[in-house]
Amino acid sequence: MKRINARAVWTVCLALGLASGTAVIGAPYGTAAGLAIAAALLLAGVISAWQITRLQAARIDAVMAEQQQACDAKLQAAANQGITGLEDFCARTVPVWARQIETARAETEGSITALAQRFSGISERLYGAVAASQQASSGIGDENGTINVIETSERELKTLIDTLKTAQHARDAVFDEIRGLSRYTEELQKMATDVAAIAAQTNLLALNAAIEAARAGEAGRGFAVVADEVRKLSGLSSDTGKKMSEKVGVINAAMVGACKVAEEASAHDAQSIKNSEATVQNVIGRFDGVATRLSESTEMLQKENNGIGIEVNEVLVSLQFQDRVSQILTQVRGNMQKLEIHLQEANDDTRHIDAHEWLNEMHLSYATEEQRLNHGGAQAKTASAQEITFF
Amino acid sequence: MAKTIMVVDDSASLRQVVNIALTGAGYKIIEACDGKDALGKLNGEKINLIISDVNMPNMDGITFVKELKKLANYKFTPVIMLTTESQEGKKAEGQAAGAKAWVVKPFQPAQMLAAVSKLCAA
Repeated sequence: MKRINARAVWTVCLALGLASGTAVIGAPYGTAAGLAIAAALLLAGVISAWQITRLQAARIDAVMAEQQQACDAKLQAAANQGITGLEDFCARTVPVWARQIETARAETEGSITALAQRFSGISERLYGAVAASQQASSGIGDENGTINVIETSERELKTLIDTLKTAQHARDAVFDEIRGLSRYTEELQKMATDVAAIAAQTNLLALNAAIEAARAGEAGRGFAVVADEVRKLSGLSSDTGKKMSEKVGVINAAMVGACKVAEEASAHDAQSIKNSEATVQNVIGRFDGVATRLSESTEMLQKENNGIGIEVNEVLVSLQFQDRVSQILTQVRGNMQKLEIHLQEANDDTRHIDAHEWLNEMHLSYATEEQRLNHGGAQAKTASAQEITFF
Repeated sequence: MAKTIMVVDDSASLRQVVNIALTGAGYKIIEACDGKDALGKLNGEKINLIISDVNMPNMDGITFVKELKKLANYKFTPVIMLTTESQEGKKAEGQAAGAKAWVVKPFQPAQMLAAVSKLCAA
């Protein structure tokens, strides 16, 4: 504005000087004199314009100074007004902010506690289910576990098969003894035949004795009676030998029949035991298959359980953030309450707040490293677990 | 028989976290919300170990440990300080009061279990 005004004044003055000079040149007083007058007028115009410009600039500076003063006064007034307003503002808003922070802290605390309780319930139930499943499938340390039951059953069934085999062997031994007896029946048969042969021979001798007794006449009559009795005895002996032979034959036939039946029964039993053994092996094999799958399932559960354990630990670490957040918020709220009390109780003498002193007191009241880092101007990062210090 | 641990902390969520970490390992937990509450809950009961916060209302952890050490039944009960404080000065205060270990939150459950097991066995 100052520049525009100066330029306008200069233009007006120069125009006046030039116009005056031109008018003088056109006058009848002669060219040289006219030029001198015109130059003088032009010089006068220039000087006038310069002086006017200086006057204008001085006036503008004065106005600007006045305006600056007025502005400064207004700013000062505004600043004074601002401190008063800020105090009132703080007195009203700080308690609200403190309450909001406390509400947020309390709600977070309550929610995290409830979350931790629910998490505790979930993890307990999960661990319980995994443990029950492991116990049922692997039966580690428990005689009722599936694997132990299968192993015990296999042992017991094998014992049963062994018992059956032992019984079969015992029966086979009995029938071997019976087969051994058949040799005696053959001997008995031979003895019976011998008895019959001796009887026939005795009969023949008795007959010869009778003939000789008859030839001896009256003297051989007594001997004839003896010879006759001997012949009768030889006949009885021959009958007994025949009967013995018949009975031995019957006994032998019975023993052969019994041995045949026993052999058939033994073969049948052996086949039954073999079949039973195969069946037991099949059943145990199937149970083993189930047990193997259960074992694999248990192993998988164990791995999952370990994974869950790691996750649970991570969650437990993460859940602890609430305590740190709570401490930070509590400290902020405490400072707000302190400011509120200060503003309520402040009089003209204590109205001034020493920011440096407040900051020092705040620093001393910190309980976490994050607070100290934030206080120092650095942006604190989330805290991680540290080593335990033993005293 | 399960060993008994007393957890003293004004944060219910933190007590819950410690509870989860230790009950899973078979420990019995008694909770208290500050030092004063903890002293009131001792009742002559056998307590194998105490885990205490430092910054608490009513009675802070350091004062609580000092008071505990005055009681005949509990003067030898080991105490682990569990706190957000990691400054050496604070640790020295805990040690002077009679604490056996200093754990900075957040703690790793496995580390805490190892420390609890070690101090309970001592």
